[in-house]
Amino acid sequence: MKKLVTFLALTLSCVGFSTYSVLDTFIVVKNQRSVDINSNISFSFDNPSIYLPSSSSSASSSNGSSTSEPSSSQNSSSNNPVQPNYYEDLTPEERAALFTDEVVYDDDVYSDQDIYIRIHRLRDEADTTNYYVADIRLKSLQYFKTALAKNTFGQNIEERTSDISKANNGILAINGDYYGAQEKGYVLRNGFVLRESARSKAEDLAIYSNGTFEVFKEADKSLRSVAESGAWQVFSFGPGLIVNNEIVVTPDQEVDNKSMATNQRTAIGIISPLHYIFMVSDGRTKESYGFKLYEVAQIMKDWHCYIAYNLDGGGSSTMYFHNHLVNKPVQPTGWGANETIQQRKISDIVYIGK
Amino acid sequence: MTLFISENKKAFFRSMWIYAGATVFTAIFGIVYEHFSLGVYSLSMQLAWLYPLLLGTGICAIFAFVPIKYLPGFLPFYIYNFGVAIWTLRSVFIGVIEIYGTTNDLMVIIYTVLGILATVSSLCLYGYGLYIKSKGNLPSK
Repeated sequence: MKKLVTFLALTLSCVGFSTYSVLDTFIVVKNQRSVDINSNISFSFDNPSIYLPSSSSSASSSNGSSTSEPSSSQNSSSNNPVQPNYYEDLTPEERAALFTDEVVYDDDVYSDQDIYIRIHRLRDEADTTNYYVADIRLKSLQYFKTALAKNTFGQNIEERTSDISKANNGILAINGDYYGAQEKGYVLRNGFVLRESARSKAEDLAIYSNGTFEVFKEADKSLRSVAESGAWQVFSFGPGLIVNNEIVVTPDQEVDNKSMATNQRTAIGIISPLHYIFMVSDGRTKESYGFKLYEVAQIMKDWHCYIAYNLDGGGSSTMYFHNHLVNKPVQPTGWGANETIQQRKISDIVYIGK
Repeated sequence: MTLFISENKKAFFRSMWIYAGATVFTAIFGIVYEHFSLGVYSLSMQLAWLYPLLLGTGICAIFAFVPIKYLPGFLPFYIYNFGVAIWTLRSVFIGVIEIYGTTNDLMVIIYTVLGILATVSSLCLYGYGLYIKSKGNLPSK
């Protein structure tokens, strides 16, 4: 009897503790803070007017379709004081023609007075993977925003990309860094400092008030110092794909060196201040294998990004444009059954909106 | 006071096979879990079966086959089993959170502390039993 009671007590302790640890990790909401990062924004933007068209134009949004395709030429602009080697293919007049007085949009294009977005649906040269590139031009960084699931900061608070985007009137949205899956790692969104605890090996992306990007290691800088330097957004996922025009990932490098080589991917890059690239690829299906990090870096390089950064990928990778899904965020079953298009619930999105 | 010393090797022989089964189960669980993990892998998940194999089957085999005069009684042995279970679950848990891409440092610390407490206390109880036995206060059974 004594043995039985001891055995049962220890067994129940094991089962109970294991169950609690799983619930604590995946279900229990932790570190919850009600911070509406999309209201009461009092951020000072250094509008880099040197990059902007002098005035908006009534030209049709389709005018920019051919000019924004990637080119192999490597023109450099002499009027960029931040990054002299960035690629910019349009004159200020041509850029001005992209913005329209009235809202113009279809399945792949959006344009208004301040925002121009064009979605390119592409397939890689090896004919293995579908990917989607959003070419984004803004008149102000204030339209480059982030949002949290349920407008609440915390772990295990999740929503689909489309739902977060709709709740915030997003025009174009991609998944963010899924900060809620981590206990540590800098989180700064729309100018709000939300989490300052550093992950020792994390490589972050800061987007500054003048529209520029910087890739840095959390071990090298405090979030407070980055915020004081004028950071508008900070993402903690990585790694950086391109820094100062150089691809900085190796051909076999993976996220934490634990992921499969080919995968769905989400990346963001900068061509010039207020000219950005969002890239999302499909993966893990027979139709679309997915990319290695190095292949993503090469694509971003082809689009002339001088800095590019990897965000959360895999089942999280989602691009949502004007009330429809652009990519196919499949969640394979693992038994070889047909995959279903289904968005994963995530912590945060990056979006373009007003 | 028969809690600490046992000379019944059958119990350890039986436990050895139970641990062998647990080793196989843990290995299969790890393989199946990683099959569904979409290419993300974790060393902790892959090697979790080593705990029941080495700390379970191995130790039980020593007590079952090596001529050791005084064997642990049920209390230290049960607590030791609890420790092995905690170490195995800790490894599986770390594997699960690594594959998911998340962290839970507090839980990992608690698993570690529980594992150390269980293992050390079982050894202490066994040592205490041996000590009492050496003093001649504990009748053998």
